[in-house]
Amino acid sequence: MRYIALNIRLGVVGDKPIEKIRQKFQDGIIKKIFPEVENIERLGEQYTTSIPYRTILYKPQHVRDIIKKIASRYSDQSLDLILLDLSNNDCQEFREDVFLSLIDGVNDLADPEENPINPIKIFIFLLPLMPGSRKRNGSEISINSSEYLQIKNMKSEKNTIVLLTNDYKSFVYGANPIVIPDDIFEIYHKHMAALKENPIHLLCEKTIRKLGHFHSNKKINGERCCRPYTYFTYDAGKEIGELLSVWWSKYSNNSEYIIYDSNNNDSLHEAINAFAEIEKIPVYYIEDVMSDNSIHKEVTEEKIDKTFTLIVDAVDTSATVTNYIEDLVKLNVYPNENILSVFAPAASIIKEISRKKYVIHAFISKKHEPIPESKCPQCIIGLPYSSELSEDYFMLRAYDIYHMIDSVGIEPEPKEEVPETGYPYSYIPKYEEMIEEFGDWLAYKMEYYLIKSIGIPENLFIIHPEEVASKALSDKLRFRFNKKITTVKIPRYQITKAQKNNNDWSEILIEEAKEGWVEQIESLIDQGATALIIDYLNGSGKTFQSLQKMLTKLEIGVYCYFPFVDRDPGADSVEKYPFNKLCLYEWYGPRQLKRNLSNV
Amino acid sequence: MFSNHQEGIILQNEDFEHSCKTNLYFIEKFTQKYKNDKFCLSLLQDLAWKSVKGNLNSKNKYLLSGLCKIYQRTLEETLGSFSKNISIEEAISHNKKLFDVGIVTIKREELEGVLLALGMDSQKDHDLKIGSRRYWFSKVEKRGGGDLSIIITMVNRPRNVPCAMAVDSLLSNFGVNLLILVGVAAGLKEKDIKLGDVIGADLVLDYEHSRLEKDEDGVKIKLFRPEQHELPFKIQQNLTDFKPDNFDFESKFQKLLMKLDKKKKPPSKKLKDLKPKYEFATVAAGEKLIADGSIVDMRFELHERIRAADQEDSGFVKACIYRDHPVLWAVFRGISDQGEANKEYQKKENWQYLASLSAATVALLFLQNSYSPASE
Repeated sequence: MRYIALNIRLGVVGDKPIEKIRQKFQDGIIKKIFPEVENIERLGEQYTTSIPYRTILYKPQHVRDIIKKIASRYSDQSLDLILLDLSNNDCQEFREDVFLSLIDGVNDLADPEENPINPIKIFIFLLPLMPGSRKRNGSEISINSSEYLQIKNMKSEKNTIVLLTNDYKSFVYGANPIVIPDDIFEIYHKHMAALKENPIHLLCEKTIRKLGHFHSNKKINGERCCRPYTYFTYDAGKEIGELLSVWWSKYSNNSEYIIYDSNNNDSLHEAINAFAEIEKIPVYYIEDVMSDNSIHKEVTEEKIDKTFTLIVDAVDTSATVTNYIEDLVKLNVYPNENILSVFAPAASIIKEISRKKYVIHAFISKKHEPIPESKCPQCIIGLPYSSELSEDYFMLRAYDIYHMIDSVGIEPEPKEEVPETGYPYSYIPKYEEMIEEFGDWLAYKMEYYLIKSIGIPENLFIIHPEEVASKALSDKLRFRFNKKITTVKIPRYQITKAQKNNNDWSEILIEEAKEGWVEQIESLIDQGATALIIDYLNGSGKTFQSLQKMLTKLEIGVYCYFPFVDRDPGADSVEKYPFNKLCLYEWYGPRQLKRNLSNV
Repeated sequence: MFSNHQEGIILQNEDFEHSCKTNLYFIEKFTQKYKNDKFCLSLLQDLAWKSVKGNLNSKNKYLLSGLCKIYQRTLEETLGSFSKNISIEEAISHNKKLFDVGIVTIKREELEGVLLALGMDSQKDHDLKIGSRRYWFSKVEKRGGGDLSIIITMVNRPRNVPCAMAVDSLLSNFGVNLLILVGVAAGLKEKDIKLGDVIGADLVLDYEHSRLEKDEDGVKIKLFRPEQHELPFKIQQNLTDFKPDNFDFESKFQKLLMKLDKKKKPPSKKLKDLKPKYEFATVAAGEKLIADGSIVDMRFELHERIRAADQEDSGFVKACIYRDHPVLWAVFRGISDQGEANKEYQKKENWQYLASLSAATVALLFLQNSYSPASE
């Protein structure tokens, strides 16, 4: 049996390699369903199949073509089965129209008329963690996955579709009566839990790449270097602690104490100290050991002949670690040959220091890509160095925004996202890609700015127009709140409709009462929630005004308006923006308004 | 730093100059990369928004530079390889605010002397400030009709490098046909150069350049390699026949001296027989404040025509000539001391104000009567 597994990532830009743990999970599912088949061969597809939110929102029917296009690459390889793994998605992106388009795609692939060379017989869908049949506020999917299939008259006489849901249900449609073993969900949930709780996976999620102008210890041809970004972890003490515990059992070589440096990583400091307390291992800060104080005395007198392990937050060139080891060896203390770093350019680096080989192990391998000062654009411009430890500014530097634009490119403003009241910008940065690539840090900065300036109230929820980049931004921001914050997406066409009616939302709220977004927002009224209105771009304040009018009508307080980029920074009048207005970048250039609608 | 005020908290953001410089860098990069003027013009909007955090001049400077970078590409597309010879920025910089003459002074005393000579209030506040540099504007009526527009600045620090930097700032921001340094210097009394006299430089001799060697006996020796900066030919022509006395130098100087605050004048008994004279001679310029009489040695070792010594002329001249479009220059130095051990005493006697005023008077007479602008 030959099969391909498509790792479909919804609402994501850019394909990424499929993790080995996920490949194992998929192989396990296939073997469980077909235990009698001896030769199961997995073909190709080493990368995820990303379907951008733009496609989901504006052209869901294109999903059909995407699937067909991928399968066509295997048309000469006698493919028997396609596994469509959608389990790694948020249920909010798994919309009905996307699913139906997928079904259309697989029906085409199974149809000998559409796919005469190699019609595929079996399709297995692994669905995301969905809310099930239970109605839930805050979700746009409120029906059971099985109901999708009843909506559509499937051409199931030619193929077999297996649907595995998260709520321990399986559905088999079609001619081929595949028997799904009862214990398949053990594998399903075990793997899902493993993926979700894997500390490395979580640590990666909590790793933020920060842009700036940073010093590097590296020299290229004798010239000092700079780095355009650095990495840090945020609130990751638990994950580092778990990883440290596993690492220690493998590599500590019976070390009896720890010496560490954690200048730039509070999470590491927290994790090491918690670990040391649990394991009853003495722990010393490197600066204290090297200083002339009681700790220095304690280490050099009492710990002599005992092995210690060196743990650092980041390794770039290994120069600092080399210095540490050389200095510590001079104190006649014995370093473990295994050194641990949270970040390093590779998972393990072998380094000879004082004629002994050491292995530097890293939890996360990140390369810093140093640039010689003479070629560093930020040096050429004359920009000051950035702090590794804290944010230098609340807003972005000009270099940050332009560096991001340089990375992602520009495009005409998507016409679907242009307010009815104004004309489109000819060209704008590709904000969706920008937020996808740099959003972790941008969201971190937004949260930082809010906390340090106006504070964050309880019962906060996020509201924004249902647009690609705004959604990407709110996803990143939700992560900052551990996904425990409600997000309400207002369809752009409803905003347009309200604007045409002088921002009167009365009729819309009545007509759309059964829509998820109206139910969601109405449920927030009784909770005393306040709104954080976000947007990826503020061109004229018209969208903000419309959303604000709706919230006012519903007697929901507005806490802050926070567009990512504010193209209308000059019009800071209380009348136009009667609430706190913050942004990460002020880029003057208000949207040109249509005359007949400019008063809306 | 500019600040964003939210509920009383001062939030710092990036310095506007850094934002503007970054913006210009990316305008240049993106015009090449995207070849999309509309997008690049939106960067210009950003530049405009950031540049207004500075003063009028910085705003104009950054905006102009941004515009040039965008339209340079349009020019290149239009003219093809021929456009390599044309720089919009350079073309526009030639249209910057023009003055006929720039006057550079080093210290406050010299500035006040110039302002007084030009008929202005010596305490007048500057007319324009660009960064930390201050500028005063004035006019000189020429004999035979017509005005010369004048821009004046003050370096505010002694020695050659600060002076060169001030000249560069002035020439980066303004166009001038002639730049004159008006200041004080130490004079060579052995050649009858007295306090209050004025030397117009026919040559500026930078005496600092030298080679240190050991001779055959291993004794360290210093071999002088002075750099000579001859007065530009056009100015030399104007100055060779310039005789201030032909234009009532003494009486005009005395009239101006009367306007000088009493506290800024030397003791009145020393002014009794004061008759400042003018000499067209060589000025030695280096980094040393001479107070040991070594001007005499310089005359013997370096150049027989040395009559005065100062610390700025070399930087001044180099900043005028070592540029894509060299500027005509002249130097007038009033003698405020004799470079000897009594230098500080002479300074306390307020000879610097007087010497500045005499040099400024000579400069004024030169501009009014003998200077022929280059375009004529």
